[in-house]
Amino acid sequence: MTIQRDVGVEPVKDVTCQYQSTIDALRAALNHALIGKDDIIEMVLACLLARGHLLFDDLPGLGKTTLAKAVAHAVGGQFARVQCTPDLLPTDITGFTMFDQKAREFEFHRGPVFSDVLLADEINRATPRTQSALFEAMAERQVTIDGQSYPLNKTFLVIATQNPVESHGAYPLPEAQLDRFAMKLRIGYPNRTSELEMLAANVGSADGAQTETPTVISPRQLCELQEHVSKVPLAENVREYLVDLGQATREHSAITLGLSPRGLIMWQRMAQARAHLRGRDFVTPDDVQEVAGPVLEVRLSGDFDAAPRIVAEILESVSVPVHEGKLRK
Amino acid sequence: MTTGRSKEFGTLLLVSLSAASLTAARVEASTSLTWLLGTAVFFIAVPWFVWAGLRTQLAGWLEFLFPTMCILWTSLPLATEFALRKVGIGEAPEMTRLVCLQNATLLIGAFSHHSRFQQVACLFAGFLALFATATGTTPAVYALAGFFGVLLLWWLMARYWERVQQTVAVGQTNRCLPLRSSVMGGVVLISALMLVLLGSTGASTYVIGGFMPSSGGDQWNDEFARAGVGDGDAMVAAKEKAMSFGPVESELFLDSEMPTLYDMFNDSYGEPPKPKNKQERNIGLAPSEVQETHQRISKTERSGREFSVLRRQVQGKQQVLDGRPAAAMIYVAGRTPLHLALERFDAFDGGDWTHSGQRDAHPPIRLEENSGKPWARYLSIGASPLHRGLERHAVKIINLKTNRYPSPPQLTAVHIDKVDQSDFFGWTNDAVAYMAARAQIPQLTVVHVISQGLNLESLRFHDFTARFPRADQEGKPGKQSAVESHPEKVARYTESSASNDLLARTVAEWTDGVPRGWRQVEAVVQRLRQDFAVDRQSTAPANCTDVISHFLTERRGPDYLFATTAAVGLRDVGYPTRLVTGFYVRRDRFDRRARQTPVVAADVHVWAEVYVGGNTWVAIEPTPGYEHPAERMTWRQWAMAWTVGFFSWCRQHVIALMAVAGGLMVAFKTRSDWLAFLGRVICGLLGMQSAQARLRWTIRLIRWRAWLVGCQRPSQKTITSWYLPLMRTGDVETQRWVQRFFLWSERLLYSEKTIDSEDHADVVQACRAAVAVGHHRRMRTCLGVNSSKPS
Repeated sequence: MTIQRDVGVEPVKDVTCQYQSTIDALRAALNHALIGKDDIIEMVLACLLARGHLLFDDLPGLGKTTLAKAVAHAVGGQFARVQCTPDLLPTDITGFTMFDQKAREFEFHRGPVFSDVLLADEINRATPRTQSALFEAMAERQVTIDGQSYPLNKTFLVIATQNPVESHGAYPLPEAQLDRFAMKLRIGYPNRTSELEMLAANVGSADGAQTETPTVISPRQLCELQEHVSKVPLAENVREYLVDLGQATREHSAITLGLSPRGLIMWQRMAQARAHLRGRDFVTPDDVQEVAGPVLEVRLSGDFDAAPRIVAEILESVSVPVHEGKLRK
Repeated sequence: MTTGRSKEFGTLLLVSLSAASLTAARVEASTSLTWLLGTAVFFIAVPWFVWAGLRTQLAGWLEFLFPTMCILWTSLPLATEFALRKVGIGEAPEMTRLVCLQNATLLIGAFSHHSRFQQVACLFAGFLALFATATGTTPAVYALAGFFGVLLLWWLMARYWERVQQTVAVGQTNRCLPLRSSVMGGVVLISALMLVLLGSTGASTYVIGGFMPSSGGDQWNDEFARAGVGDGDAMVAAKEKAMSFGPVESELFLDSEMPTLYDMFNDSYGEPPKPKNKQERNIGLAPSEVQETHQRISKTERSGREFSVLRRQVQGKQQVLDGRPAAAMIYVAGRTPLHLALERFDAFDGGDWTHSGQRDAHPPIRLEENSGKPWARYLSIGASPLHRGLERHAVKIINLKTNRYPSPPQLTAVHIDKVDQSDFFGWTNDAVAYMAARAQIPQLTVVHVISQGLNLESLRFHDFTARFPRADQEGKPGKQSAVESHPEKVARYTESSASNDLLARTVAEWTDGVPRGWRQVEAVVQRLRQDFAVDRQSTAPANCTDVISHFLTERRGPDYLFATTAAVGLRDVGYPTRLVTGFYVRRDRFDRRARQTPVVAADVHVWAEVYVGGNTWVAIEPTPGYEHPAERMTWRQWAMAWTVGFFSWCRQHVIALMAVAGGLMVAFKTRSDWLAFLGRVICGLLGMQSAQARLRWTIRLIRWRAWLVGCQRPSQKTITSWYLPLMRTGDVETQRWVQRFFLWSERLLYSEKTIDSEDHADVVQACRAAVAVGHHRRMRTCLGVNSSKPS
């Protein structure tokens, strides 16, 4: 499905992208952090530009946390990390109110959600109660504590990781939570060359700590970029194609819960981001298809291995529009 | 509930059925059946291809072309009719118009995914089926229309329930056009149109010549019209003669001279030379005193006595004018071609065939009641092991003076309505069924005849003559083995005193190596048909004493010489034969509308019969150009004959077949090359106007080439993801332009911004690169590379 673009092509039209250098720097930084995973990096970038939350779902030691930390550092701003355990409480994430003896008043202690990038490591080890604390923060970018709403940063981004194989003492994420993530990514094992390169880079660093990823974009710049990406237009036929695909998820026999409208909007934003990353000012069915896997897999509960096949079946069931969008009635 | 796809399929099926019933109705009056059926299949098939095409990626293209297609497809029958009339094939004007409507309906039916089209198609289809049933008379029309009715009922029910379901679901009806106002508007519009027409042209509107083509009218007629009240020119002729009325060219009134078979032979073949009469002295009278007598009556007196094979064609005898159809003697309903016997001859003296007057022993004729009708049974059914199946014909006597029933070979039973007297049925001395009680069969009598079919297979494998003696060849072994109850029955049919050495030698040569039995008869007939030519003018000179030798040397002559040679030649090798005169009912004269075959004076014919034992005489046809009397074959014989015929045809045309096969093979091998070339030419021509057009046509060209190499894009794959891997090249710069072409294509298809004129040069270069790299051969290579990769 992925198009091999081995020859650099400049955009057909100059997309007046003053952010191109920033995006390139971001890409380089992430590539440096996770060697040999260009396509995963592209997806992470797209998710970042689409202002979506990210769930890494893979085996231990494949670089989930490394990549999440790299994203957090590259974006700059405030970074917070929560190591999810069964005894973690909702207030450990959102924050709590405490009576200040000295000032004789209640004082609000902000939790880790009041950051630009929140890394929730091993999220499925937290209890459902704690997981639910993230609902409001992820969907509405605010938290309400004791009847008081506190807005979060505009660029608030959750990067969660989970391990799909260890089911003992883990609590699978509820559908409502999954639907709030933009995509689920699997990093997978690196190839031989990348592994050789990785080993070479590790020689000399005694504690195994990786080099710090430089900050290449400020939260304000990221916010502007996200605004810009949200304006990439979709032709009528591509929108229809998206709706048809959404409908197909609801009609597929193996899926109990079809794509929600929120999921469809997220899919469109991801396709927009993807188009922008390709240097285009319009979205093509290719963009829609390329992000289909990560966007749908997070929402299709069920078998870990069956998801790619189901996504492929859904894509196979809908015809790509090849008529000119403007000619259609 | 039906899905959308089956609904559209049903609509097109409905329309196709109505078109088929119209075709069945058109068959009755068509001048060229092949052409009619060919075009009908074409007209019905193409919309199905369009229907299928609308379900592929061609959909957008077809939708775009719909108006153009509609106009062209609808006017195509008019154009072909115009061209065909130049070569004499045509159809009634209203039929052509109906075919136009049929085409429009079929095309609309193919596009029936538009719900409005579906209804229009259904309405038109109903009209076509109604018209077909109103004009057609064959069972096929009614069967198709009945089937159409059933399907229509199903269709309407499905639509009704669908509508009910929609109404329940939505809670309201979904009507695009307000019904009342649209009907009112239509009526007002048509009335206004009529008023304008009548007001501006006055009465001439409805008396324009040919305005209603089928009804003829003053000063105008159509040669292909199916029916009419005025009959054009004929009506004018009637107006000019005060005494006449209606259509004047009625054959019944004009040709009532009632010729006999003898007269017709004389007309067709010329008369036998007569010895000069002695000159008697006479006194000349004034013209007023001469009493006129009918000249032809005297000729009929010689009827049925002899048949001379020494005839002369007289120039100027043919008085029938060109263009005037010949008058029918009789009409025959039933299978054609058919041999109808009227006279039989057993004795030949070298110049004339005569009948010896000896009567064969015939079984008695019994009158039987069958389904309330009286039937005269001449022969019992299944009397011979050769008999296989029955065949029925109806013969209507129109203009023939005879009391003999024109009878097919193996006549079994005869029926004339209400004739239940046995003395109306009898055998003549020369073994022909005849109306014994009368001198001639009344005009317009319909004679129903039943005849036995024959299967000659058993005759081919044994010598059937072994059962009866050969009177003239005493030294031969056949004589000893003969067991015969009626030697005199066979003797006069094997008498061959008129034969000669040449004939005997020739026939002996023809039958040399062929086992005795029916295969020898077939060998003689086959050689006559192969080596000799029919020529009615090529007759023996008047003083010729040995007509057969003359015929054998000339190798051409009229049909009676073929029959005579076969009959006498077969007698030479010991087969009893007799000569038969009568009519040959031609297949090509069949009148599809009346479903009967007229037999005209020119259809008089002479053939022979061979006696095979019992009461069975088998007709043989030695004249080329006339079909053999039908043989009832078993399916195995039929398959065998067909296979042998097919292979012999192939053997005869082996060079042409090899050339065609070679050409087809080359064309097939190089199909992608010339098809790709064709595509490039078309796309190059059509994509010259603008950058957009160029892009569109380049995409189509690449799609066409990919289809040619067998990797058509699945509809779920995007253009870039499918075609780009097929268009790989080592040249980085060119590859860059190819990718640029895809970017431009995506912009054309999925961006709302238009491509400006300043981009034209860039688009052109990208398209050029794509056309060059996206060559079907390169695609094939890429495909090979891709498929060999482990996926």
